[in-house]
Amino acid sequence: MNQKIFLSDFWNIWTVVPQTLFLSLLILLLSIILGTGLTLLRQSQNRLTRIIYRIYISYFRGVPLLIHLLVFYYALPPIVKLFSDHLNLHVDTLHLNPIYAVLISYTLYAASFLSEIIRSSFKSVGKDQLEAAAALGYTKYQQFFAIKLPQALTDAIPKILNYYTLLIRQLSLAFLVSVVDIFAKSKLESADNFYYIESFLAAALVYWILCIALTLLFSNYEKYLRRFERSNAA
Amino acid sequence: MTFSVVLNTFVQLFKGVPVTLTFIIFAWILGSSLSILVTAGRLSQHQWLRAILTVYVSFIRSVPIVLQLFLVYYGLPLVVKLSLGIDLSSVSKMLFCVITFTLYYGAYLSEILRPSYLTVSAEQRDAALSMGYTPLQADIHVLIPQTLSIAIPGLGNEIINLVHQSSILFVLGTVDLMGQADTIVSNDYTSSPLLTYFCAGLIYWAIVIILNLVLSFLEVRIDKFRDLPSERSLIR
Amino acid sequence: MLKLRNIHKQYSDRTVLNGIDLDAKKGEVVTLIGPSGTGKTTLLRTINLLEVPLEGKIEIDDLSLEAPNLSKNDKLALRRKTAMVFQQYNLFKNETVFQNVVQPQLLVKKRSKIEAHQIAIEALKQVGMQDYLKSYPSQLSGGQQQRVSIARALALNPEVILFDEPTSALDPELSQEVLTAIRKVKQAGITIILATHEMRFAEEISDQVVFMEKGIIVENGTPEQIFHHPQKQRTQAFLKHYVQLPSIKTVDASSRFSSIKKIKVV
Ligand SMILES: Nc1ncnc2c1ncn2[C@@H]1O[C@H](COP(=O)(O)OP(=O)(O)O)[C@@H](O)[C@H]1O
Ligand SMILES: [Mg+2]
Repeated sequence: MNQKIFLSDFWNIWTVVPQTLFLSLLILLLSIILGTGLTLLRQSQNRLTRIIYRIYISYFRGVPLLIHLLVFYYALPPIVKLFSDHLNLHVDTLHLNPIYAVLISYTLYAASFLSEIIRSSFKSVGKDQLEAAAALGYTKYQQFFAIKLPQALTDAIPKILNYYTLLIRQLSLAFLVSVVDIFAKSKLESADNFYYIESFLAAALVYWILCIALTLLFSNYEKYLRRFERSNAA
Repeated sequence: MTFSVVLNTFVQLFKGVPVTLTFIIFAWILGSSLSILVTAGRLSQHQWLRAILTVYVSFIRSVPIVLQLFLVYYGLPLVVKLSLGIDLSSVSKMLFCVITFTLYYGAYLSEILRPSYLTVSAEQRDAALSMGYTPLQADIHVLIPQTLSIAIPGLGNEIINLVHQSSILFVLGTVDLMGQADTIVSNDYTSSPLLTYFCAGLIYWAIVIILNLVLSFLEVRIDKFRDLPSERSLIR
Repeated sequence: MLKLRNIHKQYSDRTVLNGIDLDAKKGEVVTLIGPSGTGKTTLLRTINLLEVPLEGKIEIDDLSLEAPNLSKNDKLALRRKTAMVFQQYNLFKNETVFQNVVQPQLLVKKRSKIEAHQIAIEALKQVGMQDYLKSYPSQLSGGQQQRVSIARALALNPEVILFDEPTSALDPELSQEVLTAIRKVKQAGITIILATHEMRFAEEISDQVVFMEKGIIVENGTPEQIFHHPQKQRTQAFLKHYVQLPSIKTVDASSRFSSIKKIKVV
């Protein structure tokens, strides 16, 4: 094990941490929006809509993320070409940035899980809370924004943040379509000099540090969010 | 794209299914066995053991499994050679895959078992001890059965995770389902990558659907005394 | 028959029991009363060694233990002479009513299956729960669960049964059936140590009433002495709170149990 190379790999890998965090965050935000939309589909009165929802969830959860990524990586250029030919946009589909495939596949995939988080969080707000508000004369609108939404968010945010750390790890598959995240960077580092173990250990250490730091940060935030709940401290 | 092309793709892909299923069974048995030991260790009185296991679980949970796979694949032969002088270079790649997944699920499943054990309230243990059960009797007859019933939905999720995550093995050149897809795409330039990966996805989907059916059947069977609502958690 | 001497117990640096002496004769019912947080639960758990006291002596029959140096075998020996009925019933959730009553006999008493089955049925009959053998605890009402847990204790033929507020998690309606079951335990001649807030019941069933406060025994005596002629001011102040309590109707056990059978959950 070569310490010098390990250290230089370690510092080099940090340079891609911001873009990894940012890309994960972007996916998270997009999938929150899509996930909320899906939740609405689920609650729709229309039977067909609900069936579409169920197939969507089953498909995106049933197929490995890796395959979603590859499918969109190969499907995107022809689709974009179709549109660009029709609309005369002249998009260079041969050199389409693979990051779009990552964004789309990850968002569609993550949304299938986030919709469940969002739904269960809204469900977790007890009827009694809304009845109490109604009894005090709150309008439906006030009940939603003053009681239901804040309480649902308290429940959902910690889970969503947890999902964020998961996304950072899942992004490690992006190297398959040559998008550079932490893991892909470590592969690039070792591709030059063949010091595999050094660069993989360095990447593992970066992930470990990141994960511990984020978990600490998030759990403190969660404590803050749950400050009005009964503390379980013995 | 004709029907025969699709059929051919499926035929090729299906060659990988037994490998995938065998791998899953091995990894699951070994991983859950390890996780029982890890859980017991983390609940034990030995501070050192607990500290070491906490570090181990924290590491496994922080690092993507594909990176762990590479670490084991490149690192283990080095370590074994330096410490024991045994050359692992001719050993099957599958061995490294199984080792990685065993270590991974040993940690992850203990993260399900341990909280489940702790949820089985202290009161249940009190009740057993108060009547003169030995701690071991309390574990065997009261606490472990309840732990399992609480843990089973989570464990079921993890099997599905395992199916999904096994798709990453192909980066080492295995011949499982995803490995077959990769072989088709890289060997046969007339093949359509999109079609091949999509079909592989459909097979994974089918496996997951069947597994889910089996799992919910099992859950109903053991559900009768559980009063906690089960919520299927997230797939990693 | 049961003898406690100078029991001390602390949680971290907080003294919860501060030198408790207690004697109970065979077949006697000793009731612990006192404000919440006074150490009644802790005392009961100590008698069972679910909590190990800092110092003190516990004697039951010929078994005499000196805290805090107790071996596993000491604990087992003591627990096999006692049984406990908890506020939250603590039935084993993974076992049916019948299994809950049978299994401890097999494991602890090493009885044969046939014998354990007979005794279980007998004990469940005593508390009026013989029709629920196959139910799981989650399918029963609180009162029913508590009666099963009394049967579970009875089936072990302990010298002493410790009851920790057995009815305080129950509606007054359901409390009655549990109190009736406790009367049965008394009739069986088993020594009872009972912590409760049901003063009427305490007065009716007790041979000895112990008023505890802040980890010490303030006053003890017959129900007559404690409830009608308390000597200490603290006791008087405490009992004042309970004067207006509604009287409990002593309900005929058989009629009550038969009425409950109809709401059996399938
Ligand atoms: N496990 C524990 N750890 C710390 N303090 C405890 C614990 N159990 C009980 N206590 C404290 O000991 C005191 C006595 O409690 P308890 O015996 O439950 O009183 P009671 O049953 O009379 O209401 C209380 O102040 C309680 O907070
Ligand atoms: Mg108490």
